Amino acid sequence: MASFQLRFSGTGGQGMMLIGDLMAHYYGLKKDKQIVLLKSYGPEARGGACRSELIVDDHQCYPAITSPDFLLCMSKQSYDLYTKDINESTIILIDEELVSEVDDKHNSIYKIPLTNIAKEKTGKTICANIVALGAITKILNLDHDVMLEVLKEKLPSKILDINLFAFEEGFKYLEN
Amino acid sequence: MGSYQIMTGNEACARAAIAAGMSFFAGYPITPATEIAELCSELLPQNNGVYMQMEDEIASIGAIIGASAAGKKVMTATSGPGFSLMQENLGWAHINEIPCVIVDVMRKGPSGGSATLPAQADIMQTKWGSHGDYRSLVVVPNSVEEIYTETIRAFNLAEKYRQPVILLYDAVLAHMSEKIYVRDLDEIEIINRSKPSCDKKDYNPFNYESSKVAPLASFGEGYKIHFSGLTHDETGFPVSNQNTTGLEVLIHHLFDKIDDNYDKDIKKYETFMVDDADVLVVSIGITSRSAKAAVAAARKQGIKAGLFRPITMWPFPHDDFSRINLKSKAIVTAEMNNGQLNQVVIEDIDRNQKLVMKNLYDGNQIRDIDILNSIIEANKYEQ
Repeated sequence: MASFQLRFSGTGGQGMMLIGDLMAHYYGLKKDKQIVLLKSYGPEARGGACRSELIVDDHQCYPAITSPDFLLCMSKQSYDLYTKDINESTIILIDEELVSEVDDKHNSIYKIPLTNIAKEKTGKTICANIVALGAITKILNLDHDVMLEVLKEKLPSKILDINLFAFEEGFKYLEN
Repeated sequence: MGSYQIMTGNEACARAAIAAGMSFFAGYPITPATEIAELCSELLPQNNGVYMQMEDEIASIGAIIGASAAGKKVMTATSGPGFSLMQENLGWAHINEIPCVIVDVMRKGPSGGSATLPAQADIMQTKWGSHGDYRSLVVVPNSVEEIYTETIRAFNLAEKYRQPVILLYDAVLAHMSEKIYVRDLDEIEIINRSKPSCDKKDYNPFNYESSKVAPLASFGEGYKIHFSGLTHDETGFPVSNQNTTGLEVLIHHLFDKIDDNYDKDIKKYETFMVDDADVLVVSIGITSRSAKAAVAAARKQGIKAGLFRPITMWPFPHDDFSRINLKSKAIVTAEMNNGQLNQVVIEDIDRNQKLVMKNLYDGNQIRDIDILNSIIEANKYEQ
């Protein structure tokens, strides 16, 4: 297959590096794919635009994104910055309350109130990235149960339950 | 049984060094090499080793030289600015034949340059950085897995040939994660320096009669050892300026111990579709992955392209490269600098062959499409 390219973007502190790690674990260690994971962030720990990028392939990966097949934007700034190299079939997922204005030319865009779901269902906005992971699992038709295994293997036990809950909320949002 | 793991290039370097038997690391943090020191500071105390935070890079290489002379397997890691500071002591390690591994994670220079941006502009510095005649041993991996395996090979070469070995890669490889296969320790070949078996009073720390490497006693074991940066004889004490033979044999030895064994376990390179290649791309490190993609794309267009990738950068495999490029009408060098690899390649091609250079030094990786364009341009050349 040709490589599959994913970009997870937002603001420092929203967990965009973690979502890259979890997806890399899913494809690399659970699905026997080759992966390259690239992380990019400014000097600030919180507040600046940041992204992690994952390239998935059957063979050694070309170590750069040429045009993303999937793009997550969890802030207006990241939407403005990281949509420049998308193509007409790029699947886009945005937090609809944080990315208020979007180009009407996107063919495949999912608008979900990710942060609001996290806040209402788990009481913690910080779980928004895992809500997004649930939605991504649904959108990309990934293996739900395997993704649960990934969460159980990668997350510390004291924050696992709340994140498993957040994951399911994101997964089932699109079923409604 | 080993296992598959996901890790960054810098993490692979630190973990491989531990697997190779490193027991001492001294360093000073610098982007993009910092994570190697960070992880060594965590892993070494857990593995009966010592991590030492130094005041600068001059002290860092000094400390690993001292620890190696005391019998430890040692490493330091830095980037261009720190590597520049290490050059005097690097020469000292060469003339005294001290096994050590030095990691240079390349960032854009010169000088402080751009700390977070990758480059491949230290290729020549790793060969000629210190003054005087000596044989550099430099390995250039192009993936996280190869950083792991080449770090272990760097330790083995350093111990076997009693000299510094440089592990050279760039900021992209340092920070990107890949899935790698990590072998169990009993599956990894580990070479340790040979130790003296002679009577203690008969021991000399150097052997200049042949290319054979002298066994290395450690300080504290009771052998008489003397090291000096001055040109010395087999006892380690300085040679008189009138003793021209004595001044010469030391240099011969530094070259012969590498050159006589080059084909055994030092030379290493990868070729991809070179057998009928009209256009041969030469590239190292992260850029070689764009080059490989470009070669594959060129083949799909019917252009006979191939790739030659040194894994041991120095000494460069001149004989093999000369043989492999014989049938090619054009050579393309692709590198993230303003022209270094091309100067090596030009020694091995003749006037009928065209050299096309693809250089980029704006802090971005060279894309496969750009190398493909260079291949297409090179393919238009009529011999």
